[in-house]
Amino acid sequence: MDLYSVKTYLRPKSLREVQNWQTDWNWLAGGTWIFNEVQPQVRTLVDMQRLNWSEIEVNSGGLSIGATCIQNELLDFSFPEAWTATNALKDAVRELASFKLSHAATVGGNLCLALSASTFAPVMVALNAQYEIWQPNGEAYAVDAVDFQTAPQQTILQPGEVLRRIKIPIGHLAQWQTSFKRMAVCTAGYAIAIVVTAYHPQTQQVRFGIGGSVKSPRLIEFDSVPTSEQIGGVIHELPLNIYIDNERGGAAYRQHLTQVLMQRGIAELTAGIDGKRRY
Amino acid sequence: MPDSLNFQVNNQNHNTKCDSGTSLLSLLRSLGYAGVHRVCESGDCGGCTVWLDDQPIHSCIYPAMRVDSHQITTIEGLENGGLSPMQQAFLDKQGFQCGYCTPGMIMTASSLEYESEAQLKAELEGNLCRCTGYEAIIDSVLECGKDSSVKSITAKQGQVGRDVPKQDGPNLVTGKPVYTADWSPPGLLHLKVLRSPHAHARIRRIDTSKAEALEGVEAVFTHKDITRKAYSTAGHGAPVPDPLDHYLLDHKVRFIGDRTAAVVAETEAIAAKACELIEVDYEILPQAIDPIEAMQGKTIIHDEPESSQIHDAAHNIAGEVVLNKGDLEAGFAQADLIIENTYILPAVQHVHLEPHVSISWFDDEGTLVVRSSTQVPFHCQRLLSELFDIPKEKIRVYKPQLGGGFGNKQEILTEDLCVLATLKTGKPVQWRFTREEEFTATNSRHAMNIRLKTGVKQDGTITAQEMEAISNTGAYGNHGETVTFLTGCFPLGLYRCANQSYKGTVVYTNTMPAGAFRGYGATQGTFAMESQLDEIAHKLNIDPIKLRQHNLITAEDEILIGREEHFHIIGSYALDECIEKVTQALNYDSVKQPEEKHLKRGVGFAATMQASGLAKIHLASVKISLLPDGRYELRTGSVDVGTGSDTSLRQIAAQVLGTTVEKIEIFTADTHNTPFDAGSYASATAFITGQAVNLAARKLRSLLLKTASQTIEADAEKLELEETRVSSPSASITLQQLAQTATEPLSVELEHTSDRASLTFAFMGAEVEVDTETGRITVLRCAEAIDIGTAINPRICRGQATGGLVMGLGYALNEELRFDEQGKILNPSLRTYRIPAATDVPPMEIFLIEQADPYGPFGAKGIGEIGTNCAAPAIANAVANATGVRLRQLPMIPERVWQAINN
Repeated sequence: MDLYSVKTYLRPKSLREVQNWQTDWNWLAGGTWIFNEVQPQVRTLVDMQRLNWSEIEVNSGGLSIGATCIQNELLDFSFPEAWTATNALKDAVRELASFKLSHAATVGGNLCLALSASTFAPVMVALNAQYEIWQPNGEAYAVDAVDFQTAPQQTILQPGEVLRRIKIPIGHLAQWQTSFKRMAVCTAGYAIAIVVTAYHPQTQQVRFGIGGSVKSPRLIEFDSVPTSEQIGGVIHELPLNIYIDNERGGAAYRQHLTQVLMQRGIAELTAGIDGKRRY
Repeated sequence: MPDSLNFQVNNQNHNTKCDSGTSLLSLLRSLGYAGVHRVCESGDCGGCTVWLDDQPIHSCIYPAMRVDSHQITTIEGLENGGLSPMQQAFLDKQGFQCGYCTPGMIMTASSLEYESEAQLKAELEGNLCRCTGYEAIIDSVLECGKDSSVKSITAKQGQVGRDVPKQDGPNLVTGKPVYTADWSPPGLLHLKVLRSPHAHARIRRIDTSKAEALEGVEAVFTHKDITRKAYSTAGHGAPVPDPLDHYLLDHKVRFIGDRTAAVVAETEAIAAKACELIEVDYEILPQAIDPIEAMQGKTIIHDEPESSQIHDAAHNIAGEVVLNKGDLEAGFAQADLIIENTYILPAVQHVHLEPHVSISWFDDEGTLVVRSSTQVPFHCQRLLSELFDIPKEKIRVYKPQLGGGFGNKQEILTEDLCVLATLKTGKPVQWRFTREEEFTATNSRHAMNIRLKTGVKQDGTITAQEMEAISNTGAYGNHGETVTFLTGCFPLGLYRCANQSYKGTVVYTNTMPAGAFRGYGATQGTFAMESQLDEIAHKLNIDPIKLRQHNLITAEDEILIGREEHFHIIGSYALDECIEKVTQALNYDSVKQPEEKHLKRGVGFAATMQASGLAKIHLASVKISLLPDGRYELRTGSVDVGTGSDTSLRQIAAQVLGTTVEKIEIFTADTHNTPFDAGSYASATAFITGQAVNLAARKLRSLLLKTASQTIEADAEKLELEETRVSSPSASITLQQLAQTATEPLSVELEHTSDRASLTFAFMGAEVEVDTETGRITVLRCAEAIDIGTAINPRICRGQATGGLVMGLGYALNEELRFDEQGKILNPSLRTYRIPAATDVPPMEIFLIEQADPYGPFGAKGIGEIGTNCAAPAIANAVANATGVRLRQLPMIPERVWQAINN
């Protein structure tokens, strides 16, 4: 929709051009979210397209994804064959919404919005990603994916700070099998629970990236394949107040769904079944 | 304003500037690419799909500032004025109804790769259609590229009963500028309203000076600028049955979203900005959100003396319906089993893809012209005349192509303030609703709590039924009582029971008003009735189909609840055949359970009936003429909402006149150029306007034969009217000659009301699978049979059936306007209020059972609404059959199912 309050449109080619960050400025990555709602507080859009931060790089340490990488690029990219965990990235794209949105939406945009329904956040948590953040003065620091979001639509990013790239270590790409499972009130729309399961068949390690149901993404790890009871045990040790409780779904239901999706995810991975992504 | 943008659209260069926050959608529309449709504005429906360098995107969420040096393709540029294979496929398989989703659908489908039908449906997730139920769309896409040239239907073959293509198809698949907002007179101003943030408040003081001072603002209106006159927004004929309780602008606001003030400005952006500058001092009043609480009358929503026709304003009761038959007490005394439950139905929204939009201006002769997306142009004309004290003949209301309505455009919601603004400024004014306004400031289906108590004998004979509905009409009473009447009348009337009572209470609350919506109250009552019958069958251990067959009315019965004689009558009756077809199709005795223990399957059924139009009061007038070129002209005030009625009406005329649809030019729904018609609602168009066309065409036929017999001196009895001539064995005259030599106009105009409204019946079955761990219900397949009388155009009828059924699926499983405690709607967008997508639609078997009705044209009955009623109860019954769990609240979202299973 038209954003009537926007008066200025900046197209910096480098971060140095973005000075004196104001509270009524907003980064514009793909625009698919910011243009979907009225934004009365935004006066200036800072278009990130010309920063050229859209790379996908394979290197000895693993995978690096530029923040403004268009999501569909991940679907077409030829990852090293051994990096089976990259399937989870592709699932995150497929489960975002229509393929027409992921022609424009960016990976970084999805993470920085920190919507509980983010499809990428639980993937990044399951794959042990790290985020490189640039400060306005040009200095960078790193944060673990699981520590990035603090609450729905809140991250550790300070005004003017920006996510530059996402790094996934090679040790979490090679050999790991993944499953992406989500549940929404309807078959499409905002997810109310997402579970990304990563399973290493040799080590039997299991990492669950939990999103959708919780106020900020969580990691639940096991050193060996958990039984349904063990999953239930861990779920019930966590307090109910980590779950979102609103008109889309109550906390107890979201807790239950999280457990069911974890159980189904790991059961399918260990049985070698390519199951459904959506319920 | 930023730098100019250089880009190409359909290979044409553009160099233009726009505001920084403009969407590509608005930029394209401002350049005249009207085939890019504005629907959701949130990237969810795909109505605005265009290609950006050959990649399909949703232009509503794409920044226009990024278009520089890109190449855009819109529907207008798809095939350089010709038809692409996909466009041709959509025409061949008629993959559209109202056409508003069609350009986006075609732009998406043209760049899709898919390997299976299931994958195709999944890939279409970002393209929503509200009319078709997707079946025809999927068929179209699958058909693309195959050779399937459609043969035209000749006059000799006859036109009634044939799949004559919808005549508006070529315009719709090419994105022609045919809808209201696609054209406007020069010098257009834009209207926006400031809406109340409070559910119930009095305006103590309102200061518009800052808004008026903003550059580009033409005028600001508040309640101080209007003559206070109560009216109803409902589009009913006079005398209107609704409470007169609404004002152009008022000193009181009654729901979050109610109108506080109106701004007219050069652009929508300026108008929106000006609204923010209006300062309002609200005296916040206690609010009543829940109808039961509202009836206590602690706060009175309509305490103003000017309002009238309110049943009991002190208790916030807008209207009351009481229907009785027999002796209830005696009936319950005879019962072996009495069962009583309450069923909870939500407010849901129509989601017609084209929003409400009106444009008003003065033409050269000083006539006030209103171009509007309305189902009721004539009622609108009358209301505007009353409101502004202007003679009717000085107001012309007409509608262009409609992008859906489903009852929400049987309302006067935008025309009133538009006209006020044009009268005050003398200038053309447009008012277009945003999608958020559609969700928060139009109308919903009435939310209801229905208590139903049934007494039965051991053999299943119903001895008594008592129904009580609390119907939430929201802040205004439009359609309240008439909707609530049907909630009891049809579901109770469907069953033979000597002792029945119904009480419907229509309650005001401080929430968005409820109004007319396909099914018109019968949908809610059908859920209660059809659910409870299954509960009874279960308790008595009787097959639910047999229980119904034992109690359903038959062709010999009369529907007498609440009246001595009834105008809802059984003309033709084929409900028994409907039941047979559906039960056979679903093969319901042999449901196979899946291996997974958490998946349970079951089947369920439901029956319903709905009348064809309103007897005695729904007036349709038509004029049909032979033109000098030998073609015909049909003028009717009726409105094609997108269904295809403009085609069906011509089929009726063509059949009578021995010609083809193509030879009949049609003019519709224009108060200055067509005769009166009550409008498009209550499943009336085919049955009532269709009969008017039938009668007029027969009269014209006689007139043509009589005139020809005089001209060529032949016996009229021996003459035959053919496609191009009138001839006898010995002589003939072409229609052209006949028209040119006639001394008086070869034209017939007549008006028609029906003394009775024939009932259409339907029966539906659904097979579902319930995931007992997540609570998700998946509908695996469904079958519906509709006792249609005669299908004038089977493909159009089928479209009504599939579209209605899928709308019913949404009502059953997804849709609900969610309110917070303050009465604020929490899901006012298509991202959060989900309507069914292609992938949600199961295989549907539709049976049109044809047994000609004695009162409808060629035996036709209404079909517009009935398809929606059965889905929710059939699914609830199937869920109970699968899991043993009974759901009495809609929608049956997974969380509710899970809770029910675990309780």
